[in-house]
Amino acid sequence: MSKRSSVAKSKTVVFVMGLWFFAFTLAWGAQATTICDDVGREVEIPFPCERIISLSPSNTEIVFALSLAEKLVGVTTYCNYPEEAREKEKVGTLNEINLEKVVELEPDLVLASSLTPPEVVGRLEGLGITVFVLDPHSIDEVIGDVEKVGIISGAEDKGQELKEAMEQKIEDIKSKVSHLSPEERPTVFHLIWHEPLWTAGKDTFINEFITLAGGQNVVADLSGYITVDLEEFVRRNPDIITVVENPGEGGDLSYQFLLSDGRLRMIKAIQDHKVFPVDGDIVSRSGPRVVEALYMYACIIHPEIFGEYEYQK
Amino acid sequence: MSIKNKKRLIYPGLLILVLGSIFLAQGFGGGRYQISDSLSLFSSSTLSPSERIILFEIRLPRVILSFLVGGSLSLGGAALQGVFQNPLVDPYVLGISSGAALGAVIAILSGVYLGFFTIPLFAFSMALFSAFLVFHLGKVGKKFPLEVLLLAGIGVGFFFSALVSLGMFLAGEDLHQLIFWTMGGFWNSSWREVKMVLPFLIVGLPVLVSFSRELNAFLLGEKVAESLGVEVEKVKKWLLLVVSLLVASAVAVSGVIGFVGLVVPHLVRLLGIRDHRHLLPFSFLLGGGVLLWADTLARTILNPVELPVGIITNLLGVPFFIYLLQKRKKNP
Amino acid sequence: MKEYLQAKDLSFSYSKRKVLDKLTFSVKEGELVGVAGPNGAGKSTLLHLLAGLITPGGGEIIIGGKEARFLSRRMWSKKVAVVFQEVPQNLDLTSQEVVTMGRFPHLGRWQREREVDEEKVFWAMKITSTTVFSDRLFSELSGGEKQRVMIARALAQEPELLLLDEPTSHLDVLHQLEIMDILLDLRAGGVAIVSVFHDLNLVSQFCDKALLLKEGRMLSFGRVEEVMRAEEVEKLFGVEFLETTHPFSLRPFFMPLRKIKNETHRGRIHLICGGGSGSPLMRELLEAGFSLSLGVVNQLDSDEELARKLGIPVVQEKPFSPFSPSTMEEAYRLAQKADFIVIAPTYWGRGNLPNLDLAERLVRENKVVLILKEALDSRFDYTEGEAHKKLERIIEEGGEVIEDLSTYFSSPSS
Repeated sequence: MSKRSSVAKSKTVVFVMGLWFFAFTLAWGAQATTICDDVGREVEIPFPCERIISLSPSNTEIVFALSLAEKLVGVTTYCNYPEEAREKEKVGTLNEINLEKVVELEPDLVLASSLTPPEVVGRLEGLGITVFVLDPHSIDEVIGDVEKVGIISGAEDKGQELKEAMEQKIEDIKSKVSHLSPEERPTVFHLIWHEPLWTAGKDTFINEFITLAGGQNVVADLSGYITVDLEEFVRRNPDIITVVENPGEGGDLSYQFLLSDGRLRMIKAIQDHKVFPVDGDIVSRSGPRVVEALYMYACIIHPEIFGEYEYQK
Repeated sequence: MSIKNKKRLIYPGLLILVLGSIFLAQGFGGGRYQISDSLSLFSSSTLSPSERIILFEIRLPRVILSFLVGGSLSLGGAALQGVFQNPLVDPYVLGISSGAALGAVIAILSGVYLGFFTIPLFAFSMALFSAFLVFHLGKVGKKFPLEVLLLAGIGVGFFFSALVSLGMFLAGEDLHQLIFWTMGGFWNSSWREVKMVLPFLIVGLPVLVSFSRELNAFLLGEKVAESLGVEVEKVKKWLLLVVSLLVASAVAVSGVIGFVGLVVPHLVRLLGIRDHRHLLPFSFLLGGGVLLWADTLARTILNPVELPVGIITNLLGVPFFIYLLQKRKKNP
Repeated sequence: MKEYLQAKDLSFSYSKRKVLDKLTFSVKEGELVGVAGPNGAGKSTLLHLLAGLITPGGGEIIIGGKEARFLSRRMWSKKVAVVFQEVPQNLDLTSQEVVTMGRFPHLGRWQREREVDEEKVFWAMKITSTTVFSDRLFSELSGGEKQRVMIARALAQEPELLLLDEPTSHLDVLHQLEIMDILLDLRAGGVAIVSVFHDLNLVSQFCDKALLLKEGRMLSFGRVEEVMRAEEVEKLFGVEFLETTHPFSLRPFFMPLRKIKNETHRGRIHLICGGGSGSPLMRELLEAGFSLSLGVVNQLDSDEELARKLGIPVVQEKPFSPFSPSTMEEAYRLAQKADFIVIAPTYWGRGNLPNLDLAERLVRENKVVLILKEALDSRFDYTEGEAHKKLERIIEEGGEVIEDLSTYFSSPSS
């Protein structure tokens, strides 16, 4: 073989490989500019992402947790955490969004929730506004959302950081209760409202909190958020009861009910005075504070491992 | 005269049915029937404290309350149908249900807590207030012309309903609580609720029955009734007052349960009973029985999940209206 | 037989409309009084008053010697029973149950029907021939059958005074006569009866006395033979009747002939008007039976247009022109033929002032000149008082100022 032809051959190979490499990068780069949201929509990552609107309290909390507070230009009337969120411009409630307001604020990214009416999402899309729908059903999915929001808002690094922190905390709690046998896991009943008795079965966040924190959901055989018979409640005889309180609105009627209705006197949780009010904003939101919620449950269920639970009104 | 003999048998018959129903309903719990639970009504010595609580402080008062409420609503419905000489009138025609719902909304939104009877108290007061408003608006001089009363009732009802909707909208997150209340149901019924309803029945039932003859006369029209000696306006006033109290107390403890008050008096009339001296007590007994079983169904069918009993009674309304339609088609 | 029911100056108004005006009559025990009159005369209202269902605006009612307003509802119902014209609809009671309602005033609050009650009910149904439908639902009966059942119900009340509102209107001849027989029986038993009849002859054939009611006023009251004469009855209905004597009962019997022609009946009136003031008067007077003439008015005046439409002779002047002497002469000749001259509340200007001169001339010739009071109001005077002066002169010369035409023409002197 002549020296000339082997050099030519290697050049061709390099050239072809270069072509391949170039094509591959191009393809990969194209894929990298869209991300899938929680309802299966392929959303293009906006660039730049300077103005964000949140359409639910949990989304707002995510945005703040990612240190993107300055970029947040619109929130809902229910967004009350952290305190700074209250001062942001309001664009509506959970189900009623003022489209004009949203458009006026010229957002680069709108973070919607499962409660946002689909027509609103459609309209915003039609107007060329990037909408990303968040609808997590488990703690893992919440963490996934945090990561995704980080990516789509240009705070990928912070997102990763937060994700790891959350996973770490969860792992921490999990590990401390993993050794417990079923008998060592108290039964827990979560009361959302008392007339009728409204609780959370499996496939709910509450269920996860209870289970991961080393307890057992006393209505784990039922699915979703359901109402149960008072009789059933007495029969199931939970060891611990957590009850939702909505801070600031005097909404502790359910807690009062638990303490005052004499028919509950035979329930173990009542007898042992293990009735714990929990902040509705923390346990009912699918934002970064799920970790805090989990920790609350851990303290409630296993104070001997995690310390006493303290409830601040 | 054989009709009279039939009637003589029916009263004790119904009473037995009622007691039997209570006995049987007591056995339904946890999604199934257990005769031992029914028998516990007679001897409860072998029960654990928990079981005792379940049977005698949760289930029995609920069974009895559903009976009393069903009876009150049907009694009220029958009396009102007589006063208005209109079989399509139901016990809420004086805007009572909307008033009660508004009371509940106010109680829930304001977060005021006056003890366990907060919501019933607010509901009862607003229900009475709406009835009072209707009387006032429906009055022309010293008389209560029926069409005006009906219009006033509809108007007030709509007005309060609008306020309820407004309240629900403003409540936002508290929405679910209100929805449950407006659907009507017997969750958490205790002897306290029974005590709230009972006094109105004890007074109301005999008072209404005492007006039976006047109600009978009303069937011929107000003018003829008056010419027969009925003090029409006075009778209307008393009847409306008593029925309002009865219905308001029922709605206050169990929310808005539809159709029972409308349908049951018709069922009684189908049995051939038109004389109010019998129509009223029959409506009471039958209505109580119907609601008792509707509630038993509601708490058994999807156990431990509870269905609001209002859903079952509303379904009752469908075959009833089909029947009414058929009847009217044959006899236009 | 003594007086059972007495009505003195009984009046009733509905809003501002007077429905009944000062009725005075009495009914003895065992007397059958028939009430007759055209539609809208107030017959039903009268019965409602006698039944105590409405309160009189004036006057009083005495029942069985007691002043009615002191009677309680219950007492009243024990004495007086009413059979209304309307029959209850959609009533799902048996006929027997309906008739039994009649016992209401005689039973206490908690009392059950006694044997005597059942007997009365049976009796009432027997004489109304309704026993056959005892167990049938009232709503399934025919109109006539329902009426008989309602009569039975009233009878079951054992009234001392029975009031009926057109009790035979839905009945066939057989049942009509049966009802009249029942009424006669009751009457023989001492019950006082007042019944409205649409059929004049039922009154004349069966009743003791007749009460003739027209436009809320009692035209006459008294024994049928005295009061029911052709002229009275014609006045009542505005229809010509032929009066004969019934071959069996020997009582008056009336056969309607034809509608009374109104034209030359009451006289002729010449109207001095213009600008619409004459329009309401023209109609009123025509309907009251007068013939009319008009003048002088300008063409295109609304009164002139209406007069032409109604076929009333009019003396016209050219549009917007003052009245010329020749036109006035024409009007004078027309007005001469009238029995009355009526001056309506017209706006007086220079142009139509000659009409007043015409009136003055006519009153001097002893024609009856009537001036409607409203016409004297100074707001109608655009002639700086001249019109008023002329009107005063007319009055001085014998012109009469009247409130309104209907009062003037219905008083006995006209």
